[in-house]
Amino acid sequence: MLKNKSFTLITGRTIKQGMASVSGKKNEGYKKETAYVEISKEILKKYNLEEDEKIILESDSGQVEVRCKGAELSDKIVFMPYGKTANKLIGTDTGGTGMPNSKSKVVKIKRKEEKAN
Amino acid sequence: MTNVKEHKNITCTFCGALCDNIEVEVENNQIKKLRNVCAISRKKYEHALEDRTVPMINGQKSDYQSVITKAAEILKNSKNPLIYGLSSTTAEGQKNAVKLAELSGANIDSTSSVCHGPGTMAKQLVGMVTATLGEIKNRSDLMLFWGANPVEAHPNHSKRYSILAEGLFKKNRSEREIIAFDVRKTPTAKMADHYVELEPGKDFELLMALRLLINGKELNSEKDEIAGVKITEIKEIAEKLKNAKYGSIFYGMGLTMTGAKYMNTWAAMSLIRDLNSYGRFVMMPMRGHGNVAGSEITMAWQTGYPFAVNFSRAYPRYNPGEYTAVDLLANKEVDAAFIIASDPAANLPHQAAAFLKEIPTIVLDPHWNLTTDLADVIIPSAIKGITATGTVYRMDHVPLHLRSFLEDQWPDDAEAVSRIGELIENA
Repeated sequence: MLKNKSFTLITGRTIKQGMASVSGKKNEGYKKETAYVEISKEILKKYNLEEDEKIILESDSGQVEVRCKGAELSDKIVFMPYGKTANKLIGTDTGGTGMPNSKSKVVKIKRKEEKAN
Repeated sequence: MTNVKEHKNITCTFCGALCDNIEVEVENNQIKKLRNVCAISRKKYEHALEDRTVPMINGQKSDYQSVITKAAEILKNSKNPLIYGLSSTTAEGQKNAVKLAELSGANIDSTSSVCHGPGTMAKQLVGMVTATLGEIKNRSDLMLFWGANPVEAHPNHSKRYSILAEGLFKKNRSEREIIAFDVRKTPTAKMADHYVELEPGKDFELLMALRLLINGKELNSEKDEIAGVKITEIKEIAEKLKNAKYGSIFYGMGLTMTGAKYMNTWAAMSLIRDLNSYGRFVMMPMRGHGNVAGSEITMAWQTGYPFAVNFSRAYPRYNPGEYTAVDLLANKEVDAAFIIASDPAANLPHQAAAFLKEIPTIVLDPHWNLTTDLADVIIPSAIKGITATGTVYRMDHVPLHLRSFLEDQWPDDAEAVSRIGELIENA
């Protein structure tokens, strides 16, 4: 069951996110380039998720609705470009270092609309 | 009559690689042609004069002197303010911000705390063997990229300083071996000779396994693997590290943002120390923002500490986890914020950034961003390296002087911060 599977959320830079971030943070381009999640193509297939389908990513700090993209990734991780959307999931625990868990947050995937599996 | 002027050796301030070979053609205070720019840099220059901030107080247009006065009033009346950002301003602006923090008894922190701050904490524990980018380009025969993806974050780094660079002794790609360690096959990993895929959050284990091998110990694992990497592969990597004449590790936030945080970089720095028993080995953080390295250098020069500094007792105290921006905001410990050249509403965890809406917030920035939406006071400023001069530090701590080539109606960050400080000092 997809709802029982956990992933480590890796946030990071992409070239398009970088280009959009210097082209106006309030422009649609920046929002678009920071509001999707990359998931292993095998996971998409296994759980009957479609490319560009809207899903809900949920952590113990929040949830976001994002489009999913198939990628060459391990089935243990999902990847999101660094930005406001991903930061709704990260939480504020820094373990006494000042650094939040920007590459180590556990997330789950929920379907936007219930389907089989 | 047109007035076209060419400017050479301009420094791009987007990332810590600070490429200083940009050529710009200017006509009537507009950029007409750009050369040697990367894809991000091109967008940065093309957008430079658009989306510019104007003086605002509580959503109403104001004038420059009024926003400076209002900012001074907020900081003066605050019992525990936060000054945050700093990595996209000049060393001169950073120096003035430290003075302002002292005058207002503030906490002062840079974006380093959510970037390479943990690596800096590790440096304080064990030290870091490092070098300039020039030395690495000229001599390194084995380059490791660990949790770093410069192809997307520092697009010209590989061409100017590392994988594809033309060095004095290592002249091209064929004279260097490249190994990429990551949890996903990034575009940088695709350029490497070897890609080592780790289990997420297991960098510390792999680094320590390499240390054991380098120091002549045996590895034992019931599954015959550590961090998702086969023992045989780890042994092969250890041999490559020992046999390098001049090895280098460029590390990214794959080390600083994962579970063990500063202990990951501690392990990597300790590995480098061990490897210097064999050949020369150096490491370098892939600094993100253009002058984030400068923020640590200036803060350390001024206070003795690189980030997370508190001036509430009139002398500097340092404590990451307490005086760092995420912790101060999430714990609702500050009662005003002055954001300098940064966008915490986009880049900090949502619950931390949201607290800025509950306290008086001042933003000093040349452009509108997501944090200006939350700000009570907006101070416009000139754009460093385009309409403002100043000093910035490259990721290898080489200082570069910025020249300006366009005109601006607003003073630079350093002047704005200085004026606010003078008002508080003379009140």
